[in-house]
Amino acid sequence: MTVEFADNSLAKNRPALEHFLAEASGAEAVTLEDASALTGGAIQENWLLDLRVHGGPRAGHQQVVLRTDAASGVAVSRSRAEEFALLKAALGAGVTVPEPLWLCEDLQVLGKTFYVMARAEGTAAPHRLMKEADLGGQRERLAERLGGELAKIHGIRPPRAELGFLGTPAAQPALAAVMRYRDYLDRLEVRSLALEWGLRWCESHAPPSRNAVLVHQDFRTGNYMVDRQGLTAILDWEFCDWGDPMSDLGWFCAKCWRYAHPELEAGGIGSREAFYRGYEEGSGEAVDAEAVAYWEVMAHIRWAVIALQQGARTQAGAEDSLELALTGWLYPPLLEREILRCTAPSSWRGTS
Amino acid sequence: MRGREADVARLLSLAGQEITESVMPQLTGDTRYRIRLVLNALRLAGASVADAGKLDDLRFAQLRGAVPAEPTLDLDALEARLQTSLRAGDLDAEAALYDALVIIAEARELLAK
Repeated sequence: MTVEFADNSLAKNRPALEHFLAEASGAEAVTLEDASALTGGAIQENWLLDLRVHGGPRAGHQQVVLRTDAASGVAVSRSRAEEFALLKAALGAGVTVPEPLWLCEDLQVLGKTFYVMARAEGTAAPHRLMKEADLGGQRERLAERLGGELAKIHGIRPPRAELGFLGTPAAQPALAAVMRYRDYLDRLEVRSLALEWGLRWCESHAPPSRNAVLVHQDFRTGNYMVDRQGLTAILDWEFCDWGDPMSDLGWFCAKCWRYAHPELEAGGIGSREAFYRGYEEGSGEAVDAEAVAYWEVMAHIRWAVIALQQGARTQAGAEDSLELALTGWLYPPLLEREILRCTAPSSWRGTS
Repeated sequence: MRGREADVARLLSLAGQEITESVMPQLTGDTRYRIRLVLNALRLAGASVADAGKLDDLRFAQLRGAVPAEPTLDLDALEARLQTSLRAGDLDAEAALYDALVIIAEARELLAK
């Protein structure tokens, strides 16, 4: 939604923000000419800034994106400082990301931590990707490219000193996820027997543990940007962790993230084969299709739990967001049906 | 559905119809998206009012029929018992419970669509 610059929350902090930007960019001065809220990002606020940079290495007109916290977040979301470190690590690994520019942890500037990154061209809007066949370039190539990008992310492996906040990788990521989602449901005081059924299936069918890698955990259509030529940026690094690489492939291919094109198993934009091919070429490792299928079930459970958390944010009165409230109402029933479809009694081990 | 609930459901339905037919065609972009959210909220609220507890009745009947349980348990207690049993692995691949969950999920999905 467009908010007039004079009325938005950044305008109130304009002098402090301009001072920070000048110092961080090595400029003599920076004039904030405009700031508009970008759509998308239920957990973070994203602002497009129009800057006039006076002097220094970035002199001239600049468009950058400022990212900071929304009124409330979800339990698993990383802090902006951590996200900034993750973006830097990703850039270093050759992942296509918006260049992270400056981090500000001085609360006197905006009252909350934020960082600034380069603006990526294009759009991330899933409805446009679903409707405009030429957006993102040739689609099989895009699916393959995305597989390759994911392989680069998974090339980041522990230990990494600058990512110390990620802690020690879970010995069994799948079982850790089951425990975590049960805990979230308990804390939300939600009793969903369909989700419990799915969680129990996931608990008893967990794939063998493999070496932990950096997992993006929200690598899906809607979280990458494209223009008419192809991919321009991988976005939304707020859920990153050490984990099972197949979990990211499962999240990307899960039916709930294929939008209007469920027949295109790679994120509603291409074939699973192309996506896997890009991943295998990039990583040098074979995709474990059975493990990916497992993580697709987990993906639906995870999205249902997140949707419930987002809905709860509005119930608690912390945030007046119709979008979040509807997420909590609409998605869990649809996801429960899909979870049950994937976990019929015949699919349980030892019950054929 | 009782008289009052039927009236509320009808009122919400008319509000949705008004938006769909008279307001939406004139809107574009972000405003159209926002009004679509409002429309969804009206539709969900209307469906919930019209349901008037029927979904709870269905859940109770399905779950009680699927698993042997004490007849004195109400829906909340029954679901709590089943949750505990599911987590303990006592109902793994239990076909009757699965069928009941599918029927309930389909009804919930219908309400959400």
